[in-house]
Amino acid sequence: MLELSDVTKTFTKGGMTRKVLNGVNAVFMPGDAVGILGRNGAGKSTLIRIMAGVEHPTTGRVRRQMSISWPMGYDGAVHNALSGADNARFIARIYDRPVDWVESFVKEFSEIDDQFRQPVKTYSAGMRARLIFALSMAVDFDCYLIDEVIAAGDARFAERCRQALLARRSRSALILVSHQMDTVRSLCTHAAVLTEGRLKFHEDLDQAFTEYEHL
Amino acid sequence: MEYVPRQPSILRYARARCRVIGALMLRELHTRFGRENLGYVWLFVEPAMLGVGVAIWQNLSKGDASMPGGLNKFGFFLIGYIVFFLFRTLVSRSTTGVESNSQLFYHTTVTIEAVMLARSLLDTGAVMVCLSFFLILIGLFYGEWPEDPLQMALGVLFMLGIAHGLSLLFLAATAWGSHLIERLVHPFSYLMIPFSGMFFMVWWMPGPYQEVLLWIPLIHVMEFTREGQFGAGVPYNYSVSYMLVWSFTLNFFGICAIRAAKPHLET
Repeated sequence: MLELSDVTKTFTKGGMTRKVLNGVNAVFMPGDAVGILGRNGAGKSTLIRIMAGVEHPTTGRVRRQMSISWPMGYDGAVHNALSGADNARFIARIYDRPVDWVESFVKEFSEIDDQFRQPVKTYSAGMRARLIFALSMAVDFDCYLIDEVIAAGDARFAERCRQALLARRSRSALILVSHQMDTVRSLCTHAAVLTEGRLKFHEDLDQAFTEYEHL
Repeated sequence: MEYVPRQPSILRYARARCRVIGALMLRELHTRFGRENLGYVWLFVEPAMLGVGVAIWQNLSKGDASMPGGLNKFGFFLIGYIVFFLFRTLVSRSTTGVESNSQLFYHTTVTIEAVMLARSLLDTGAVMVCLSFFLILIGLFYGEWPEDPLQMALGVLFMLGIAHGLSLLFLAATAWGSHLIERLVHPFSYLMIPFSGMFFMVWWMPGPYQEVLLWIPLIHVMEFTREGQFGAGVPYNYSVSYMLVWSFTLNFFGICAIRAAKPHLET
């Protein structure tokens, strides 16, 4: 279970205070597949980073009773100066997984062949996204947090990601933030809309899409 | 906020922390010294150049290989240099601790404390290997072997304690103005050279100066480590409890400062 109670987040930059999240309440259980829709700058990334524990809420509480992935997006989670292989070994070590198995799994899943032993900074954005996604699949979390990474790969890889995530939906939770309704529809069973710092849940996808379109 | 699958226990927690620190040390090893292990050469080049310098000096002074009290010149300066090198490295690299690993903080088990400890331990290991290498060379050339290698290793660990605590304080201070601190840290590490005991022993100095010098913990570390090499014969001035108090105090305040500064450091 992942529970957020009255989570708020304010940023202060150059004397200006901005309240990004304003009392978010949510409970996610294993097997949930929730899409969180929000316009650019609605605080989607902040919300997912707080869920992952990369950032801490200004007030409120986050309770984690399942293993939660890092926020999968374009950046983070891998070290740019290390090769894909070294990153795989590093992640295997910190999450206590068999090192050689993780390395071969990631190499195969990410389909990064020649450059797997080159530093990550030489990778294209698509390759990075593939590496980050493959790494998270190797660790096998109870809950996956996805920040529109699916859109970064090419169509074929996006489809593989989708299959891999759908295959796990029975045992892992999936939380996806996106501004695209198509991505949410293809992966999620429920949807919520993030607007004005609050999260509003809808049981029905179409209902959520209607509200989102009227924003 | 690490996820613990079963009943948490201190032992399991400790094992998990050790695993993370071990993984961070390996990661640091790869980027710092390079996969091809050529980076290690640099660790030895600097002290080796110092050794050459001392050899030239010895030649000019017509083969006199000893310092006051009959201490071997090479041993004297190499110990001073290499032990101070640990201090200088830890302190001057401290301000980049978060920046150079920022991507890794996406993993909640990777904490600032773990990153800093991994770096400090790696540098300490490297310095110990380097010191052993040169001490073996001195042993082979002059037949003078360390009187108490364990005491020397302890000396290096005291330096680790003091420098690590200080590096935490400097890193925490970057939260209030990283450019300012970065500019201050380098002069600080150089200005400490004359006050580190690298070039002298306390007993060479007149009485009143001795008292002032012994306020500086680095001097104690230097004297302690040199006693491990040269043994009895000359007076050494140090206090183990003084070094311990400095290590614990600096680390205690360092950890507190990191905790306070964390919200400003991670993002």
